[in-house]
Amino acid sequence: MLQLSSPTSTRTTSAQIHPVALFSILEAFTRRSEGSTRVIGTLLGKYVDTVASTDRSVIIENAFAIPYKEKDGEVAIGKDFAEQMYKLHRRAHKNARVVGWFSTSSTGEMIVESTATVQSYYAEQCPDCLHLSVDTSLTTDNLSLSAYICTPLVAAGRSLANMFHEIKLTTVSSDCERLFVDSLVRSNNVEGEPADLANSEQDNMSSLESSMANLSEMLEKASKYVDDVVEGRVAGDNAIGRRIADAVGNVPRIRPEVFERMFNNNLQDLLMVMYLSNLTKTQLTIAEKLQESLMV
Amino acid sequence: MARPTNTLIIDSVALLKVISHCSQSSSSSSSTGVLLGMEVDPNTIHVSSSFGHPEKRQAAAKDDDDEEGDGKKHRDRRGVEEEEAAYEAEMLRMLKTVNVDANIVGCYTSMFLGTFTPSLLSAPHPLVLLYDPAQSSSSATGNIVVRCFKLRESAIEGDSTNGLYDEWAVKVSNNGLARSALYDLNRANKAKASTVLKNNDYGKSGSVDFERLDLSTNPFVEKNLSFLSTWVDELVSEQSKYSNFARSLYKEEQAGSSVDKASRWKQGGPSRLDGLLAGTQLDTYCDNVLGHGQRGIKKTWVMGAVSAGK
Repeated sequence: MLQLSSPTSTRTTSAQIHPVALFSILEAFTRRSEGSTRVIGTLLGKYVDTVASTDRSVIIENAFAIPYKEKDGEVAIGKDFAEQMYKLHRRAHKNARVVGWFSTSSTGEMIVESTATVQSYYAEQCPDCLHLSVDTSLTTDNLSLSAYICTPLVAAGRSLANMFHEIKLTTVSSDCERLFVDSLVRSNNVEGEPADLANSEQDNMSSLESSMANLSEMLEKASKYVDDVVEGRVAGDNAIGRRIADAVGNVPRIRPEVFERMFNNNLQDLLMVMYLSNLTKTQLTIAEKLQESLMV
Repeated sequence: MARPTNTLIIDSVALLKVISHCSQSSSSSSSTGVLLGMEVDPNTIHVSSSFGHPEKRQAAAKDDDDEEGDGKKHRDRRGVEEEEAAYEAEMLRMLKTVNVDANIVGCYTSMFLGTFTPSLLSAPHPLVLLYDPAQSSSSATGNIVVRCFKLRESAIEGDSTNGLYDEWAVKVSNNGLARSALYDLNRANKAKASTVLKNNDYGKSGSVDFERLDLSTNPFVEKNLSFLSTWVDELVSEQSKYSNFARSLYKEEQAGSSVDKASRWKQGGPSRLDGLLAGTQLDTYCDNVLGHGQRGIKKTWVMGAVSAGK
């Protein structure tokens, strides 16, 4: 009689990964030693409770690779290395914990025989650990990542097999990371050329302009869609219609005079601050000139 | 400033690690770390990886007795340096086994709105990368603020006539896999509403475009203004020193003795350096506020247009 062990404690039901971890994994794969086709490593991060009190979500913040050798079905991983590296890492990032492990797959198969062995090693380190598999074969249309949670199958008291079932994986990042990834994406066109990081004032303005252009483009698309549906050219989709209605409803309804006042206040605040800083700058130049003349 | 001719090419992985490590720094504590890579030619350095130093222990409490306090600080600082050196050596050894370039080319440190305290590192590296997490938020400047400086050869020998630091241009490079990941992220952003990619939902990490249009101005401006006022105080104190000195000179002259002004200024005049520093710093803060104000005005007009259209 097969019996799925159901833990009474909270289960991990979803995972979120930071771009840092993803890029580190890809980097580790690019640097793998000659002859090996996969890379294995540890995932670090933290747990977060989701809305339902019995579920929790894993946030993967970082990843590092560990030495790994596979020969004729036998697997050797550098356990000491993993422990030592984890300790070093903890000194730099106090809140990092081992939340699972990753492996890359160049054949498109996500789970292979060796997965179970490595999984058992990591299961000692953290309860309910996550297995992340990255497909690096580039044969499919996108770089697919899959996250798995392992459940051991127990029959009559003896563990038979491990069942890996997939959980939802999303990408999440902090404000600055998102900015950086965004600028990378925008400058991703030229092959092989390193991209210049936008630093000057002009680039700041241009990025703002592109944001606004994007916004106006989206508004146009939405209004065109609504027009099409009203005139009967396109069959209306209820879901989309509802979402557009929500979006429009989110704009707060303010009486025109109140809005005028808010608008003018905001504008005046900004102008005042700008005027004051200009004044300070002029003051500084004058002070410097005076001091120079004083020295003579 | 003239366009820098030297280039620092940094891998996106390394910079992402720097960003995530520095996000835990604040105005009182800064995060530091090490850059690994190799020197391609005298004008270009390629950074392929990075790691951060462990968090520093809190500075020792102030002692009443000054001498003892100094000695203790000195001992603490050496302790921290040794700890960092040991950490670096250990990390390098481990990274070599996973084929990461184990060659230190520089260090990085986090800034706070343009100011930073260069901590004494175990082996002072000539190349330093500065990253400002406070200014890199989408509401502040809308871009990542990263600068790179390298100590000039002449400065190391003690000759500081031409300036101490050279600024290097920063460029980011990606390897093939990273590019494909970026491509995926980009596609997911554009198709957010309708399609669901296989098991992946690049939901929230998507486009920052709309966050950049955020109107909130206060935190950034407030911080800048508070720093501004602190520096103004310093500048005022510097200027009062000058005026006092000048006044004393004038009084002596009045008293009748002939005074050779030029030599007196050289001997006893207060150093100009601090005043100059205060002035330049104020200039930078003003520039920040101005830039922010300009962007804010544009955003306000857009908001006006959107509501008027409604």
